Amino acid sequence: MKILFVGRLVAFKDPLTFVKAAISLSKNMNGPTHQFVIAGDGELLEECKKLAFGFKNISILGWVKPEKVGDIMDSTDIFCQLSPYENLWASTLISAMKHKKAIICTDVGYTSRYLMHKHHVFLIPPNDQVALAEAIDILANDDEMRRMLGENAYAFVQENLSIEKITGQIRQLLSQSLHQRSAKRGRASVPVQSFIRRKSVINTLARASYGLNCSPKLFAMRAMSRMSTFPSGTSFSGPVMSA
Amino acid sequence: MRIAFVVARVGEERNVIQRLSLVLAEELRRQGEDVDIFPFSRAKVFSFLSYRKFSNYDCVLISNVGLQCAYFSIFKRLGLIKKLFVAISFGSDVRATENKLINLFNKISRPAIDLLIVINPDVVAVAKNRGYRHVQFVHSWASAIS
Repeated sequence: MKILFVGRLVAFKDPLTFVKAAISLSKNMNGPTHQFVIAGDGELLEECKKLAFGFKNISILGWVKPEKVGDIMDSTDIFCQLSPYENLWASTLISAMKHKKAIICTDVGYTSRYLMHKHHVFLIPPNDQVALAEAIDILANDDEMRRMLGENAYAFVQENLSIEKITGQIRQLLSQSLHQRSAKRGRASVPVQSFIRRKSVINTLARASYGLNCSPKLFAMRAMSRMSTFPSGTSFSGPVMSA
Repeated sequence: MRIAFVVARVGEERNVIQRLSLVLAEELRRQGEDVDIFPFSRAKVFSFLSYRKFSNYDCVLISNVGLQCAYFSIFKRLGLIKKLFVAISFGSDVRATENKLINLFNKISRPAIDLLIVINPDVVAVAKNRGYRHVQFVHSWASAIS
């Protein structure tokens, strides 16, 4: 049985739990030896190597080219995604789901909301090497469960994680935001327009008042009280005053 | 829709984000959008007129809230970019609250971003706590590159 861990070797991905579980299974194994493979590099690489030293069935490959990960994934039986913080949506997790692999995953964050235990993945608590070793044992001895988990995970990817569907959602979000923005701009322009209109009215009044040698305020008051003073067609001239 | 898509570290083999971004751009094009990629490198920080290219687009889409996002956010906040400003977060850029540089990028970018798209449901709460107003979650399209 080949068991795989792919990802950055940092505390966020918790590769040490994987190595510790691999060591405990390798020590206790009575039957056929499992192969444990770690692909990736990071600050915990040396620590992983140190822990795995002497175990020939634990291989640490270091960083692997993205196109090679698919090949490694193909030859794997069980994939482990062990972050103690969050798993969705790690590219490696999606890759394993797409390759119909049985996945052991930590139950953290939103993981169990999207991926059901013993339906899409096998969920275990975070930072728990004993639970991981038990889960590997269960899956290694149950071909039917491995097949079923792989099929369901693959179906989930096909149904929910296709690029066509997600790009459609992103397009919708962009066009919605664009419409909301233009609608907001439309509303914002109303007070600006009314301000400009008010300003032009004041300017007209000012121009008229200059022609008649009175203040704009006085002119406005006069105009409002005695509209008949200016017959239609009366033209006013004078400098434009700012409001 | 005419979309200017800013992507950093284009061509870096180890960088998954740029691969995901390029795949998304391709799919957006396939679905009828007019997408142009604007590769961003650190050297671009000194080309002060690069924001002008965005005047022909409806929307500026930025991959990751990193240096590229902070850089163009400054122009947006100065009123030099008047387009819809959308950032896609892949998690670590918004999550890491103890990294001073990431905190700075977030601080600069946050007021400029009209919409933050996250591909990780756990990050929605983190982003809202950081003060992002419009946060939307979509699933990851990483199946297209695996």
